[in-house]
Amino acid sequence: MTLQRPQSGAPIPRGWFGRLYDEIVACRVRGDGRTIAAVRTPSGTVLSAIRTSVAGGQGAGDDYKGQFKVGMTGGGLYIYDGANETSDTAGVIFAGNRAQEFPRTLLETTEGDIYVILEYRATSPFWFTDVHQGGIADSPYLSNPRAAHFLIASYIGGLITQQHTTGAIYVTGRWLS
Amino acid sequence: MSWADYGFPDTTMMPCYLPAKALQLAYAERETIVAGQESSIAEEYTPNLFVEENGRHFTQGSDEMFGGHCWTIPGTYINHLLDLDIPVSPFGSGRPQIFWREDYEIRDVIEAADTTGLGYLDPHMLFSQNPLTMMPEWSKTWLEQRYLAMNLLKVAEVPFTVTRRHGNSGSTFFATPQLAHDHAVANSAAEELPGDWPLSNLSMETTIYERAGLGYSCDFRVIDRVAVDYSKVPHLAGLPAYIYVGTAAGTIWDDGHTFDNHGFPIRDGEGIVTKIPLPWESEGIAQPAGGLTAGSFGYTIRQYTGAQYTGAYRKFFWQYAGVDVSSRFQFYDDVDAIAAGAA
Repeated sequence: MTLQRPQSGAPIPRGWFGRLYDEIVACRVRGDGRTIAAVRTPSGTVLSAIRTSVAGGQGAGDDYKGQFKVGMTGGGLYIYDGANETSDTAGVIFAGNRAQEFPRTLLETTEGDIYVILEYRATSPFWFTDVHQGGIADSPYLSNPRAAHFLIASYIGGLITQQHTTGAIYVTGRWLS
Repeated sequence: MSWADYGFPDTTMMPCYLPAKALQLAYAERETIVAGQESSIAEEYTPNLFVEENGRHFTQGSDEMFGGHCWTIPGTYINHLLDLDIPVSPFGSGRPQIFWREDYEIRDVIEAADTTGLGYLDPHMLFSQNPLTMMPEWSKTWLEQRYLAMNLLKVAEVPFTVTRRHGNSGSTFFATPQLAHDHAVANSAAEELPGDWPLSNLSMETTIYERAGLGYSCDFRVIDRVAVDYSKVPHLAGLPAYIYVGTAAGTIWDDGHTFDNHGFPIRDGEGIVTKIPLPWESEGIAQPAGGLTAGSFGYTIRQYTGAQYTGAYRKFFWQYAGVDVSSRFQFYDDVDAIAAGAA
């Protein structure tokens, strides 16, 4: 925090407003994704504690009953809609005015993070979804600027830690219509 | 690098900082092309300000994105899509005007091309003014409008030179207008002047005086050559160049000559601008196209007054040279068909 308040009556230095913006952004409350979740909403930032793991294969967030739930169901590890376990749709990704349904998806029981991916291509049908399991650095979509990764859950040591607990996914930081 | 490297023309889902960086670089090109300088903006605003999610973002349209030059650069580019059969307004009032202005001519093109129903989105807004019509942060419509606006800036105003010639037959009278003109030509001299000097205006006139019992005398002022001043912009040599010029028809500066363009393809009419390729050179010493006969033939270039002496090379007169520099831009896509078709 090095930004100094301009003296009254003195010209505002070039770039001062940009640095002010940066400082404001730097003051945003953030969670660590493991124990504290911070969710920005139109009415403010909501902080919540992420439950720690429990035995039985289901870890933090096992009480989450919303979209993009990751858990053992139907005999396998799935991404599904926690509010409607039999639905073919696991959730919806909103990208501007696009509402892209994400299908209920069987996952591999491999160690690592679980990402939902939304990709835009310039040819029809334009919008595609996928899953990546593992480190984000190993994602085949990493170099694709039009693909967005959303961390949904982690599957480590046989425990599932639900990272995404806010229902539908809203794409931010992208040019959209 | 090019627009395509940053996702244009369809930037859907591109990270906010990449196309924004392209806009910044495109502005930098357009700001510096005439001076032949490396961009200062590009150095000043390096991509470290574009940090992706969870970091700092440029806000769309902010001064920092364009170095604060958003409004001034268009004013140095000629509107190459202008319908030259429609009268042009003087600086300071009305529209259309010959130079692009963000709030008027560019806005008109954008509104006409809009297919979203959102209309013209303020390029300079720091934050969304209307959450009902703007996306939460990064409106692709806004970006497409800026892309279109940037690609409209392609004919840059450049310095030019005028070689003018003045001659007269003095107090001697001759048996025919031709002999009087010949004598005036023999006593003429040419000089090359910078295009922004008052004496370098592109007016031409030939006056044949008839004195009963004495014969004819002649006075003329003609242009030998108009060209881009490549001594000041040598790096623009070889590019398509034009002079945009308008007569004083219907204004207080109209000298009342019988209109005759002396072979310079200028058109007559109040506010009517003619686009003429450069260099232009007279075939010999320009004479009235209607022949040499008693009377005053020619045209006068329209002038400005007072504070309207603005711009780098556009003092005093309606005569502006422009070079199509689009081939020198890395960030240029030909969107003229979109703009012209929609306009």
